Amino acid sequence: MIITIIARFIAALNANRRPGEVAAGIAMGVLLALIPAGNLLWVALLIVSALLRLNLGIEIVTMLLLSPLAHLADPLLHRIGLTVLTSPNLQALFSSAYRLPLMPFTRFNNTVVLGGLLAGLALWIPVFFLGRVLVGVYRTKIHPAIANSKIVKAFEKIPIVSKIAGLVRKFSRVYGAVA
Amino acid sequence: MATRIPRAYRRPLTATRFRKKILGRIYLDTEREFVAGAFHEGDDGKYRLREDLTPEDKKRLARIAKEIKKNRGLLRIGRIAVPLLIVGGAVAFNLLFLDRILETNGEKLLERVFGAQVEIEQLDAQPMEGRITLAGLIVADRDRPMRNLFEFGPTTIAIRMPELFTGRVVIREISTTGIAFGTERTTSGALDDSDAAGGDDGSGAGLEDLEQRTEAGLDAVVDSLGVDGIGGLDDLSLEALSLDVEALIADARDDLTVTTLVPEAIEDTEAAIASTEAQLEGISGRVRGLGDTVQEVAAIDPSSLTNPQTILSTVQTIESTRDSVSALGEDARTLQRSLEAEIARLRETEQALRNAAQNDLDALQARIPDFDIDPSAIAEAGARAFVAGFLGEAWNTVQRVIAVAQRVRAAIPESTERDRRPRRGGVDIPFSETPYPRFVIERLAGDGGDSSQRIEVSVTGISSDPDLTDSTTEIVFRRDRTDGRYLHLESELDLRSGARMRSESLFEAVGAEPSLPEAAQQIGFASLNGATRLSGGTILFADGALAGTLDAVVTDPRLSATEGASPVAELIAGIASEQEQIDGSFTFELRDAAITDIEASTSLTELLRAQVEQLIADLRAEAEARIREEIDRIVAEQIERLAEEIAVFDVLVGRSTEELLRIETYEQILDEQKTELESRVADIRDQAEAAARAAVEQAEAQARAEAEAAAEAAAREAESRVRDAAGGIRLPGRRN
Repeated sequence: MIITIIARFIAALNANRRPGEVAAGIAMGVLLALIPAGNLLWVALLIVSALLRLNLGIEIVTMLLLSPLAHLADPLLHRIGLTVLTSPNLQALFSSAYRLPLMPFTRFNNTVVLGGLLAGLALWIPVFFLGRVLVGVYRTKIHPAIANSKIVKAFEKIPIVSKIAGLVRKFSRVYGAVA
Repeated sequence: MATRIPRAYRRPLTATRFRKKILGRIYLDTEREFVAGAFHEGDDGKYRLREDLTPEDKKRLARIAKEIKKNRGLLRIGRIAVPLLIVGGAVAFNLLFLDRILETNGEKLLERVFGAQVEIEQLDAQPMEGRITLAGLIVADRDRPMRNLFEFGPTTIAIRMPELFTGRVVIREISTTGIAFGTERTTSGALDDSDAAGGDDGSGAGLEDLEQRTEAGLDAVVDSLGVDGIGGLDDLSLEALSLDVEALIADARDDLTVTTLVPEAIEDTEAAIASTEAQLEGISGRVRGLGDTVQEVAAIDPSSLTNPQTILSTVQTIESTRDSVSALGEDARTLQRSLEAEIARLRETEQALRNAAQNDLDALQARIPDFDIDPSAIAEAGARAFVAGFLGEAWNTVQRVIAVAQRVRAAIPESTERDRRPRRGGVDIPFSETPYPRFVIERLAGDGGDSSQRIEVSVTGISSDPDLTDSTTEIVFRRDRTDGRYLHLESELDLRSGARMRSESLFEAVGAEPSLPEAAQQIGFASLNGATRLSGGTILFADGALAGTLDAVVTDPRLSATEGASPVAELIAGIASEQEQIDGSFTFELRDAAITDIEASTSLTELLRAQVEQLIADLRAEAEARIREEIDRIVAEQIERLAEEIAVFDVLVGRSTEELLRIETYEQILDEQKTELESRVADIRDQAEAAARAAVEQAEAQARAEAEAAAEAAAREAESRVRDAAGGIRLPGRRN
């Protein structure tokens, strides 16, 4: 499973896909990592991201990588969420929202959940553009430089690496063209 | 087989379309350059695929065409279809099988709550209207599997649908008819072990613990309310009033003087008897030994004795024997005095026994228990017995209700504050105006009954999390019989964690057949009949204490005592049955499964007072008479033993007297013989003196006659001879 995800991740970087898909996957992964799991909001975002044309592999890898670190940001997320949730001007809105069907399941009234959502949304655009730039740089500069290096070729002979490479080929039919 | 040219490349493409739709959707430079090189611009400005492409180029173009197709649009339509199908399927499944699902889950949930089989009949859910109807609901009694705890007839359940989408089951109202309690079942309503295990969702341990604690508490209460545990009943002490005099005397026997005085005296006389008998035997032997000597002495005929020497020797023998007889006589008299002293001591003991009997009687009568019973204590004891049964029922009912409430909470575990939050914490800001817990029944109302009675039940505020709703559960139960009897009960159950009182109940029951609690039956009451009216209230505190009041009126009471019941029980039964009405008022407090305080007053108290006093006086007089009789019997027995001992001594005295008489006879014989012999000696002496005097006179005459001179010499010579003869005989006591 992990190997498959890593293969998808590498394949996605090298695939003939719009850089925005990868960048959106990264941004969505950051968003899902910041929001605590186990609520309807998190599930809904995951489902929406699965329906959108963005790279799910990149999203999952990003989320898995950042989730263990996300709790470090909880105090900050709690402050953000608490500030918003206790804002007098928004009380009526939140009260109305809470009475809507299924809304309580989103746990939007939890400070970390809402703080994570807001922080994730705020970071989404910068992360998206940053991701696009990084993917472009990777495809145009980094990948060609390392793809033909002797070190990489030797590295590919390691069993686990060769297995990943095989999966990458499976997930990326352009692999042969660019390799 | 030659690779087909993708359709997108077959038609000529305008420059704009070629740039946007083809090249614009290729994001790898190498691929883009390849595709650009695979097309050439025609004279008409349109791009066409080159003719000289190799099969590999065509394959590569086909692959890139697929990627271009995939890169179109923002949504993945194919992926939307899958969840839609899943959701649609789930909705369709639920709509088709909703009734059965609700029925099965409802039965499982209620089985967890009530711990017995539950049957829901013909459930029909109308989700759009927020209503569920049932043809019937039957809940078996966990403690009596062949009976139902209750059953509902046709029932309508109105649900707040919006709350269902928030994960909460909020029932606005349950309306039911055909309520019945305690109906019989044809099959056992007990849950299989597997069902019970299956119904345990992890809260089982807690539930079981709760049940055990509840049942243990109930058992402890019932135990504590038993006869032994009720202090007043000990004072009533029906056994104490039926006093066992023999047992009382037996207990005190070792301390009684009448039982110890005679044995002690007899113990001393036994040694005296043995010693006396030995002494008497010795005296008798000595008497027999002297008897022969005395007989020999008596056989002597003093007149036959002529020789003074012989007589003197015999007298000496008699004197010696007389001395022995005198010594024996002294010993016999000493023994006689000793025997008479023993007899006197025994007679003194007899008198002392008679004197001690009165003291012992007084002491034993002082041991008769104080029967000075306060009739109110009797009333209280009876009340305790009555309240014991009542409390047992009340405690049972309250604990069952609380247990069911706790089971509701356990069966529908309320998400804890920790669970409500995502794993990474945070704080939930409440926005709900009505904070419903996961399970709420706002109101349950129903009625039932038959031609003989009508039942109405109303319960409001059943909640799986009373702390969240901050409300109590109110229960109203009314059963009105057509013959005028009724039972009305109102109870407020507060299961909030900070509540001081757990439940507060008021009740009124009229016309119920009074049933004696087991505790009352144990003290000798068999049955109580009559029309009753009970009213009062109980408060169960959160710390487990139960306090309450109970006013009871029994009209035309008929209280019967069990066969062989104590006099007090029979007395109370008699008095109670003579009354037109008995009023009783009780207040009680129960803490730590024991009655800690109870007060009772009944209309029987004053009536009981006089009767009890008379009964106590009679019992005391009877006990005293029996004690006196017993003491007299013991004294007579002891005197008889003394008489036996005295008789023994009398026999000894008789024997001693006989010996003494013999001795005295011997003394008399010896004295008489001695006197005779001395008299005989005197006679012989007188005869000798007379003979001598005559001889002298004769010699004087002869001398005078023969010669005066010679006569004078002869006379002196004769006189000298007479003197010699008289000087040889020296009689005792007689001096020359």
